[in-house]
Amino acid sequence: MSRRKKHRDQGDVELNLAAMLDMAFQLLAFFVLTFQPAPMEGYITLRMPPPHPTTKQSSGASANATQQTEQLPALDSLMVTVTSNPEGDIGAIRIEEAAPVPDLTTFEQTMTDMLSVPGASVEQVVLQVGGRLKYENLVRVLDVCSHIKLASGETLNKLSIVELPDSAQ
Amino acid sequence: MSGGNAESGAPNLTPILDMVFQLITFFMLVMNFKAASLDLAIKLPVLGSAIPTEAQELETLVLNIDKDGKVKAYGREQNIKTLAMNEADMARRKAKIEGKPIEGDAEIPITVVIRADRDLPFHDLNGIITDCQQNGFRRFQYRAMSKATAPQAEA
Repeated sequence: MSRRKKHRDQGDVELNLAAMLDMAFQLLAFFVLTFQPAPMEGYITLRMPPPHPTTKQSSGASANATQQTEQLPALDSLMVTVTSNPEGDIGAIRIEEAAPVPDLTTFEQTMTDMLSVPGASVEQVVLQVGGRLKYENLVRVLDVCSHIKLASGETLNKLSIVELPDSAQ
Repeated sequence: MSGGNAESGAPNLTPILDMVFQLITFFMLVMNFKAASLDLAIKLPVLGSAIPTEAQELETLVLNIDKDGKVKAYGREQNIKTLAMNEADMARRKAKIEGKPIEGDAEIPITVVIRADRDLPFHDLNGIITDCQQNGFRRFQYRAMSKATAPQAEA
């Protein structure tokens, strides 16, 4: 193979940048036009097995939360009923068959008091929800449930949701 | 750096090219392909205490549900029964190939991400959740706007 000696002009080599700049601007325009900032979303993660009747408790209704707390060791699941009004807002929240709690703060407090009792063996909470309840309000209830601490120190993350029959709403 | 070729009067394009490349690099780095699976027209509920979505689940099925209960996934409207069945089937096949078969009714290792309109009635949502559960999905993630972005959500 013969070796060729290259002779170059000793003057400055001028690179035409205009074409490269055109391409770069086109790429820039593409990225600017397709740019969508990701929305700042939050989430609640829950394990939701299919609902099945698991209450071992006798059907005798307890009149208040104190009585329910005493019966809790016999429970597998805790039934919470959330009714909705025609506008899709929360109508009433009832834990098992106790009197309705007035708001979500009281609901969280009552649930915490019940479930953090040592020996309470609630495996899951079953939410019975009115069919008209808006997703916005459902998420608020789920949010409260996901913050409740169990006696084991873990947060409650096992929930089932069923729809209330029309007659019960 | 010189100020350009004085004889020809041509401007020096190097600094502008540098800047344009820096801008391109910036946009390439902040581009989020996951946002493509999100329907930004959906008005999510606002929840202050929801955990920000920084720690993402590895495998997710994102369901965008409008207030009429229509489900959008992968950028188009889908039948939830068919979608859940196909996704579960694919997950089972994948697990089998990887040597960890999913037996019968066992849990599918995919998190279903629910991005529903704030006005969606529970009746419609429940049907969708039930269809997913019947196909073996057990992990659900409910999306909401954090309070910081609430004004955008209202717009």
